[in-house]
Amino acid sequence: MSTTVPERHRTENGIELVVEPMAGAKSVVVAFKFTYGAMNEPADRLGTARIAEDTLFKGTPNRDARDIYNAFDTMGIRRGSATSVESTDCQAQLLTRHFDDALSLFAEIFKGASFPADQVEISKTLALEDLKRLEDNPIQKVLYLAYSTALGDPMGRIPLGDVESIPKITPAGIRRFWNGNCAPQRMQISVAGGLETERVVRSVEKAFSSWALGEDQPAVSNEISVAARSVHVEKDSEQEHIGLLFEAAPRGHALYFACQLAVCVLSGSGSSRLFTEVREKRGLVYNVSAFYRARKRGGLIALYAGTTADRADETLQVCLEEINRLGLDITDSELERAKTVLKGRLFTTGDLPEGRAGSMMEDLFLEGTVRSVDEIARGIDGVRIEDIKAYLEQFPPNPVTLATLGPRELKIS
Amino acid sequence: MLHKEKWMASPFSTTTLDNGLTLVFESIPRIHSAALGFFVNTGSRDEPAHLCGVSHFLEHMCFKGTKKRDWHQLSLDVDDLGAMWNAYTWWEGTGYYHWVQAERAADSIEILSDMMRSILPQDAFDMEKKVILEEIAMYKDQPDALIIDELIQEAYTGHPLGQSVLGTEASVGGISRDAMAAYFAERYAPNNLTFVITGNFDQEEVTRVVDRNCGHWESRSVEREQPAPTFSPSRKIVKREGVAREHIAMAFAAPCDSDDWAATADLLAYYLGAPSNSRLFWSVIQKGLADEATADFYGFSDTGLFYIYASVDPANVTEVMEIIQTELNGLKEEIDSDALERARTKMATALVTSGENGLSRFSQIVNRISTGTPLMSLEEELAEIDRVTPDRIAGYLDAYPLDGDASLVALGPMETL
Repeated sequence: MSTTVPERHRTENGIELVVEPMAGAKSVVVAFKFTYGAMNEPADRLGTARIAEDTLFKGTPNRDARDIYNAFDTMGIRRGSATSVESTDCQAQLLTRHFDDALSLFAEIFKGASFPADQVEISKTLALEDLKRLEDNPIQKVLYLAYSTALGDPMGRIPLGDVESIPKITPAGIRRFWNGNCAPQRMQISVAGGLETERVVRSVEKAFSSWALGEDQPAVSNEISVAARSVHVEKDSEQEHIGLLFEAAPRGHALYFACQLAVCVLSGSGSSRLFTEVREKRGLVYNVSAFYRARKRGGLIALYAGTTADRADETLQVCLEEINRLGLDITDSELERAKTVLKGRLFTTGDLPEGRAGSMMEDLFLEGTVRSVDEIARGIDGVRIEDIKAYLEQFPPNPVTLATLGPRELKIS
Repeated sequence: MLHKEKWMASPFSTTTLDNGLTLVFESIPRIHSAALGFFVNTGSRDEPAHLCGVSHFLEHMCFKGTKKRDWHQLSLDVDDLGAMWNAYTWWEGTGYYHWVQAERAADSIEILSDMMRSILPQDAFDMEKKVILEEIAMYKDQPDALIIDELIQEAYTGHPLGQSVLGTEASVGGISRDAMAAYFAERYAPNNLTFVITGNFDQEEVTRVVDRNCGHWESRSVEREQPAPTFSPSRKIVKREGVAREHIAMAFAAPCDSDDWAATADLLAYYLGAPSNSRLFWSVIQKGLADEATADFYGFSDTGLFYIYASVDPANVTEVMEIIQTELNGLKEEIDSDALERARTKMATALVTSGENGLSRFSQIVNRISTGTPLMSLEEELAEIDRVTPDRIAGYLDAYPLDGDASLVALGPMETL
């Protein structure tokens, strides 16, 4: 468990930075977040944000795609990037001695990405390939269906884009999207690992201080609301794949930790209610789980269950009963156990640079405040049974959106 | 009574109890948690053919009740530890772990030890069978998750290593509680188990706790007497309704995990088919021809596979197969030493960072024990990667050619390739 406190800093050109040093760690994780994503795409060019993210690393005025990939690999950097509805993220884990060189490479790319036309075309082709691959990943697909059906456009967008839009995307459109959005004042950086805060701040300033402010734009964020809808996609699959979605407390809400504990009582451990009732007592599924997902202005709880078709009605019914029962009869011992489970997870992953860098970035982006591991633990400890009840009164699991993928269409009766 | 013996000169420490249960310790400074659990030297390759899937089923049953606890109490007690936990079964073994705060290690050991002496309650057995059948159905909807198991069945056909980990509806359906109990009693003998702990712990205290909980278990004679598997080149194309991509898995014969060539196979696979910036990344993925094309080395205790996987649109299959062939042939002609150096650096960094993560180290150690590969410190593993040169790769390709006959499985919309 990290016992240090994250420190925040803002560069002159507006980059928000949070750092948590971990004494003795050999590696450091740096996470970058750009505060725009699929929701900022033109409505007829869905997939733009992700193609921009993919081709971001495919050229600068000084380097072609291979040069960039080789430069990262020469430092042994483990790198990933992802696009979501509200943001674009890059993350790197590296040995501390490469920190300055890695930052200057990222800075060169963010400031000067050239989005070469041939690379954009390849990325478009791959985006279409990924959409086809989604067909062989029914769990992901049914959850996407639930999000898009529940939240509509733009907040329910699938970052992969769609088959109509992707062919229409042009290199010029990608450049327009990236250059119109990418700017230091719309970037956040989170760093955790074996480097002192001052040293990190100095390196970030050095790498990014020459980056000119971009145009000022009003910060856009969208509310989300889940509608009582259902959607079914027929598939000749072995299992019926079931996705449910309903609203939850947003990050930063007074009842946010109550919400986390309610989710934990429902799912997320061996003794949680869904696992006990759906799997252990009835043997209906191998996989059933519910998880919390935050957007900037709202929270969501998603539930997945997969079962063979003739057991699908009962599975759905038990899942819904468990969701609805939660507010009525949660016990002290369940609450205490859920606190132990959440804190166990917090403390074990709190030792890892990647765990802390990711968690601090979520805090920074979604709430604008960053919590230490101790503060999060105190938040969990402070929740009482009354808070869970208040939470469920304020955020009842209703309305619910139902998505099914498989041989049978299901309905909520 | 305990007697200590050093497995080898390394920061690893090991102890063996009188009943043959071995304990392996690796401390990781800085972190406050411990990843701990049991490796059981029994996997799908140890199953009699008529009990195909029993090891995996048994793994589920170890959560289902002991003399002290029913299934519900077990899950409550594990959650009261605040443990992150799981269990997994593969060809060579079965693993169970808890990842807990250091101060909970003793309680965690007590619970895991208790689980290793499950009473296999009949009602839970009947219920869990349904869960396993759902698990089998689930994997059928994810062809990429299943294909390695199918390929191994083809590559080692007729040998126990070629048995499916999950089993089939029919084989799992036919397993009785009594047959499982007999298998369990033999295979979970203490001399067939290893206790592993990594992270932050007090070794003497851990040894005492393990001895208190497991020291009375009686050892038994446990055998895995199998001839070394022979690799069979083969080709199996399965047309599957409802699958969108053609999922292609192919493999060549490779050394076993403890072989001196294993590190070379590992790095060569990374050079050829790491998910990013490898040969296949540029020649297949970045040509827009497939969404995935990767290579891996699978080392078993007595053999190995050099494995290639691709997820391809049916229209591109011929072209992708030709490119893979060209890349494989090209390895013999030239190894780009700069690219090899980059692959090495990336692999070494991954190893160093995983060395700070108790659970990653736990899995790596369990994997080595499962194949009888000597345990090594991080520094020794790094040195092993350092020894792989282009010359050494040339030697590897002479010993284990990648341009001959492969074993191949394809799942998807196509009837022929």
